[in-house]
Amino acid sequence: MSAVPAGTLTAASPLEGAPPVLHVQAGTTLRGQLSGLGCDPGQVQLNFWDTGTGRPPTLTVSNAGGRALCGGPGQPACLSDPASRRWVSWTFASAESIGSLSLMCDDLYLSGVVIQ
Amino acid sequence: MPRIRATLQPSAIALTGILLAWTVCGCAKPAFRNVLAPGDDTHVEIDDPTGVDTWSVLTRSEADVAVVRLTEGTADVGAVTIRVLLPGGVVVAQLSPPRGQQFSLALSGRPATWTLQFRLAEGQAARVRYRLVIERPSASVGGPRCADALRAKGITAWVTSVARPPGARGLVFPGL
Repeated sequence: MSAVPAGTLTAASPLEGAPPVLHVQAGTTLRGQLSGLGCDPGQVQLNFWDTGTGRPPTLTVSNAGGRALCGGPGQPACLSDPASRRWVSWTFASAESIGSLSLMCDDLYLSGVVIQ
Repeated sequence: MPRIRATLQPSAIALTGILLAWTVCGCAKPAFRNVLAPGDDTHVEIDDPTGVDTWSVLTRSEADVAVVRLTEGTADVGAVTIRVLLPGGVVVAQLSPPRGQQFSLALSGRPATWTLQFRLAEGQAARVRYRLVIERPSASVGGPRCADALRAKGITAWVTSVARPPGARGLVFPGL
């Protein structure tokens, strides 16, 4: 996972008493190059808390060649406008290996990533 | 009489201190009562349709990996759903094991007390029995697909949660 622009990803607690997790703030795109994990995932789950501030988060998924795996004809939907102010688990599964993720949001806490 | 009181007082204070310490330890313990460590092998039963079976597993560093294996001879691990949390109710994973006799979950990325909540899957009738075995991942190497690479290590799904922005290598799944 890396942020664009670089260095804009921080760690912070989403709720009082919670340990720090990744905090993605306005103007930052979080990119996950899954092709560098050591294996090619066919299923990925992101767990996050969107504060509801600013634009709703959107997440797109691509294969290793950069071709979109969601949102197109016959493809599963990409993540858009998930519930805010609660923990959300979003799972994406594909017969094709998932190469990268791109998450655009204004104020979101990413707590966990699951690969399968 | 006053002399007796004078000799009893330090003992009473010491006894009070011991009782207080015991009480504090006793109060602090329930949150960690169901902590499982590598090598532990526990038989579990959910006999209440709304019941939640809660266990904790520790990872001691960013590189530490704990594997939680659900298994039981003829049981179906698809009968339960699993929620993984960090302290403060932070949800890091929600998983529905597919029907089968085994499902293994790896936890890594930070030193933490991970809480695992097992519930009956929707439409599943109580009672459900299974075994929880805590292990380290195998060093075996599988195929290029994560499903195969993880299976070779005895893992079905790998959960990572980090406490700070990843370095140049990005998210690391130790040993993968």
